[in-house]
Amino acid sequence: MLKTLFWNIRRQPLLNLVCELVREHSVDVVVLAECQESPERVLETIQATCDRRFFLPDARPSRLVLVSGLGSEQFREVDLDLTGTMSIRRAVFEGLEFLWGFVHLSSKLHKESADQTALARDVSSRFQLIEQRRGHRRTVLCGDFNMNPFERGLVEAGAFHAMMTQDSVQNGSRIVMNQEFPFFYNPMWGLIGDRTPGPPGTYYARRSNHLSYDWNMLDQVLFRKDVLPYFKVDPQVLTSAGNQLLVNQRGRPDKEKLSDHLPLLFSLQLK
Amino acid sequence: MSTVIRDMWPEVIDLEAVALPGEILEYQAQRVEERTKGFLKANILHTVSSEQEVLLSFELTAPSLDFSSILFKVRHRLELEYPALIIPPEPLPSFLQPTIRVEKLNKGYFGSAPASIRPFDERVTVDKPNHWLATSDTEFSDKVGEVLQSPAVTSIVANLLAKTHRMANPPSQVTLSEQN
Repeated sequence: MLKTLFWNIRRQPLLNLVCELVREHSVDVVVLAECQESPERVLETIQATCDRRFFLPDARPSRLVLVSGLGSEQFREVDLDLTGTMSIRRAVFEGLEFLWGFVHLSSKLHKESADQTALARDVSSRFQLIEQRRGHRRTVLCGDFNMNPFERGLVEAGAFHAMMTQDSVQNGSRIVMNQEFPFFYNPMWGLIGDRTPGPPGTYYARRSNHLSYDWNMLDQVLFRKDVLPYFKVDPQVLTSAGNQLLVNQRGRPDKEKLSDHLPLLFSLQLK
Repeated sequence: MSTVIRDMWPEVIDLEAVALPGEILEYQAQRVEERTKGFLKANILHTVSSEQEVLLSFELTAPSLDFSSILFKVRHRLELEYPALIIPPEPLPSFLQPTIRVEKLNKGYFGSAPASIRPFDERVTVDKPNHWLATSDTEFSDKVGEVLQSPAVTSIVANLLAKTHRMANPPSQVTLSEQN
C-alpha cells in the first residue's frame, strides 16, 4: 500500500510531528505546503527519525516540499507552474506511469470566488494538456485547493470536474457543448460534516459575514477513473500525531500552537 | 486673456506601431531558444476562458530533461489586449529568500493576546496600485523584463541549463580548474 501524507503546516516548526506521522502511519510520500524549512532539512529530519531511507526527487525550488521513500527517480517533477504553486510528478508502478499533481491554490490574485474558479479552470486545463502529452490519465491530484468540494471551482466541468461518487465518473468524461471534460472522483465529499469517523473538515474558520461554513474541506485528494482500481481505503483527516493532539478542546485545528490545517492521509494499492 | 488648450492624449498614441502582448512574448520565446542554443524552448499557450478573457501562459520546456514549466501568465480581454494583467511567478520559498522572517513582540494593548479573544480587530479594505497591470506595450515590456529577471525565473533557467549541460557533458568529461 502506497501511503501519502499532505499537510499545510502554516510556516510552523512542526517537523517533529511530521516525523511522528510518518512513523505512525508508515508514510511513503510526504508533501508539505507552507514549509519554512529547506527540502534538505526536511529530508534530514525525517531520515534521522525513521528507520528507512527517504529521498528528494529531482524538482525545482517551490513552496511545496516532497520527500519520498521510494527512490530518487520516483516522483520526479515533470511540470511546475510557478504562478500557482502546482507541481506534477511522475511515478512508475507495475510498469505504468502515474501522474501526481500537488497544488496549493492560494494566490492573492485569485481571492474572489470567481477568480478562484478561473484559476481552477486554468490549473485543470494544464493537467489535461500534460495528460495528453504523456498519453494517459492515470492521475492523482492532491493539495490545499482553498475551496470546498462543493464549490464551483471543484465541480464545474471546465474546472476540476470532481464528482462525489465513483459511479458518477465511470464513463471517464462527459461532453458539454461538444467538448469533452474528464472527471475526477473526489472522495472528500464523504468526509464532510458530523456523521463521519473523522473531523468535519480540514480547516476551521468562523466568518463574520452571512456565509460561513465554519468547517471547510480545503485539503483534498482527487482521482481520475483510471486510478480507481487502486483506490481501496478512504482518505483520513488526522487529528493526532502519536500522543500529540492536533486539535484543541473543541476538536478544531489547534492553530494557536500548531497548524490551522489538519493533515490528510491517503492510500493507493500500488508499490 | 487667451486660453491655452493642451493636448491631453497619452504618449502611447505617438508610437508608430503598438506591439501586442502575444507578439512581445513570442519574441522572448524565440530569444530564449536562440540564446540557449535550443537546450531550452518556450511556447506561448493561448486559452480563451468562458468569461471572454484570454489567458497567455509562458511555458518553458527542457526537452532533454522531460520537464516543462509555466513561468508566468498574462490575462486580457478578448480582442482588447490592453490593459494586460501579468500574473508573476510566486516568490522563491522562504529559505531561499535574501531576508528571513522573525517574530517580533507586539506590545499593543490587545495585540499580543490570542486572536480568538482580541476584541477590536477588524478587517478593512484598502486600495493599492496593481503593479502588474500594463496599459501600453512599453509598460508591458518593462514588466515582462522584470519577471524574466526575477529570482524565481532566473533560478529555474540556471537550474535547467546546468542539468541539460551536465546531461550533454557527463561529469567525467567536465574539466575542473584548480584555484591557487
